[in-house]
Amino acid sequence: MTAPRLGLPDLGVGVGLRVPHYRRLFAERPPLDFVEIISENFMGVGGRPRYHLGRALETYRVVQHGVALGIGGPEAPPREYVARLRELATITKTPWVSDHFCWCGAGGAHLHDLLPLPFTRELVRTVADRARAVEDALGVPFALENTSSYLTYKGSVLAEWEFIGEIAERADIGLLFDVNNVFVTAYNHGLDPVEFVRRVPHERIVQIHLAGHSNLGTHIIDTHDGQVIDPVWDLYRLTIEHAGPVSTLVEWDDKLPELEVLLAEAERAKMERQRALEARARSGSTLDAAQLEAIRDAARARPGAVTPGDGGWHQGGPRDAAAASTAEGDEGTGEAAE
Amino acid sequence: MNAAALQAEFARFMRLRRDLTKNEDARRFADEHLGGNERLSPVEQLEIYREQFFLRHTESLVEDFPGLGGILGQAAWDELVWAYLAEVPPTSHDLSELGAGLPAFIAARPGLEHRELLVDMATLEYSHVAVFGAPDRPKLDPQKLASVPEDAWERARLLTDPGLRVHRSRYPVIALRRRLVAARDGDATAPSEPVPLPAAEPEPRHFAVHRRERLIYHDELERGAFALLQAVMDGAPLGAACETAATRAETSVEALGAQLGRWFQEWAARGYVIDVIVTQ
Repeated sequence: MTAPRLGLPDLGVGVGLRVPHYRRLFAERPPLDFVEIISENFMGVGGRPRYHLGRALETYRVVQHGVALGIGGPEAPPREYVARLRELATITKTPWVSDHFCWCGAGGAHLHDLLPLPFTRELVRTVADRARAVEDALGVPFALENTSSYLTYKGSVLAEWEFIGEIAERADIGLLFDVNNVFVTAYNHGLDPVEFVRRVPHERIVQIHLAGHSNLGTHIIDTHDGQVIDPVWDLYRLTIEHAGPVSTLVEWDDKLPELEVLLAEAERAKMERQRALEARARSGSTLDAAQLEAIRDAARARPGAVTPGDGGWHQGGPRDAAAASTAEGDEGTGEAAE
Repeated sequence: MNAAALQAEFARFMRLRRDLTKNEDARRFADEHLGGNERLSPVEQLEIYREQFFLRHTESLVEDFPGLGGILGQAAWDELVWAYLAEVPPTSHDLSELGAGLPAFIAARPGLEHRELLVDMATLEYSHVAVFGAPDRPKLDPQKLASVPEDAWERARLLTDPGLRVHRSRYPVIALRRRLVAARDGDATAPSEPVPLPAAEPEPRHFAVHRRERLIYHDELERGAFALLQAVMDGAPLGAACETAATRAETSVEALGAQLGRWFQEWAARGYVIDVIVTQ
């Protein structure tokens, strides 16, 4: 029998480590159960990103999450890339490394997107084999995340929850379960989000992601640019009721608010998590049949029900760019990047 | 069609510049392979990804090349960047490498106004990106320096800091970039009217872009010092580097040699040189 969370620790509730919050986060050091970094932003061998990573590690537990592995692409992930991930993991001492069920490019081009996979038996085998090899090479537990998607393939023969569940079982890896992505995908493709939550292998969920999104009416884009909506909070509690206490991250990557707004969202996650755990302890649920139906109803597309968005999205968060954060330095010819 | 072939075709459509809903090939591909729904046709679903490809990468380039964007203005910037992304696809997982080919792309692109100024600016701005994430290396050990025998210097190689780039620009791009970034950021001290272009008459400069701790510096270099540093960074032993530099700087080896001690002290103090390697 598989141990809950594959035996990995429950870290509590954390937030993403993002450049606009560095100044206050490192000055005030608010209590946080953990912070999540985007691996690719710190895979260079030095410079300012590594300096800031060191500052984060002084206070916080750091978990690594990647956006560029492309595990389902035409070619296996490059060994050199995986080696750099491993090198970073030795510095962060991350309890696990995660990426996505997706592909990122073909023919030598890296498209920097989490592109959806056809849910086929061929790809179950391919992704599972590669996932096992990646975990072996990393030397730390590995997990893959369900993505948001904006299209479906005619060639798919499995439901998404079957696809990700079979790969996780076959490769014996963890799931990073993104509850917002479940909602987005359900809305975009007419799926039942409650069924999705119920059908994944709960004991393999090692981490949960929560985020906001932009509803364009015809479809939802996973923009990570706002607060988590109520139906997603409901799905989150449902997930916790099934999976038990699981490390949970609030993702906010675009239109970043003041730090206290992000921290308040993390506090809400703690509260919702506690409610669900209490219900689980008494073998009950925070959601009755009508509330479950309300979640399904919210995930039914209604063209015209639009939340504002700028059309762009940042899966993986803004990178620590040189020019974007350059300011005049303290010497005449210097420019500081702080 | 297997998954790899499907992905190869998908990736090709991502990099097409025009709306896929007006592309017959894309429509055929989408109808054959994608589901669509009652709200979006298959090709409209594919178009979501193509549009995001350009938005995401354009945004990254905007962050890295604010001076270039300031010179070009919105319409010309869009034109250049979209052509660049279509013709020079990103190949690295690291978005900071996205603009590595932009200076060469600009240099080869026909019909651009102020081409030399644009190349100078793009080169400077990509140097910022490169030195920003360059590895940290220990400083030069003075004891190691003292241990180099007098007669070994000619064949010694100087190892330079990975956070160092040297440039010869034809226009005063450092000052221009500061003005453009200030104007973009709404700095009250920035000129309220658009920065006039060409921003300045050609004014050749030699300079280093160097990261020291967490600061990026622009250090003016004498012409001979620039030529010598360039030769050293190309891997030449010091003796051969002096000869190459003298030719490039149109001076004599003796004249260059007379300055060498002073330059070397300056480079060591700034952290340009991090090691001296003497081979037998």
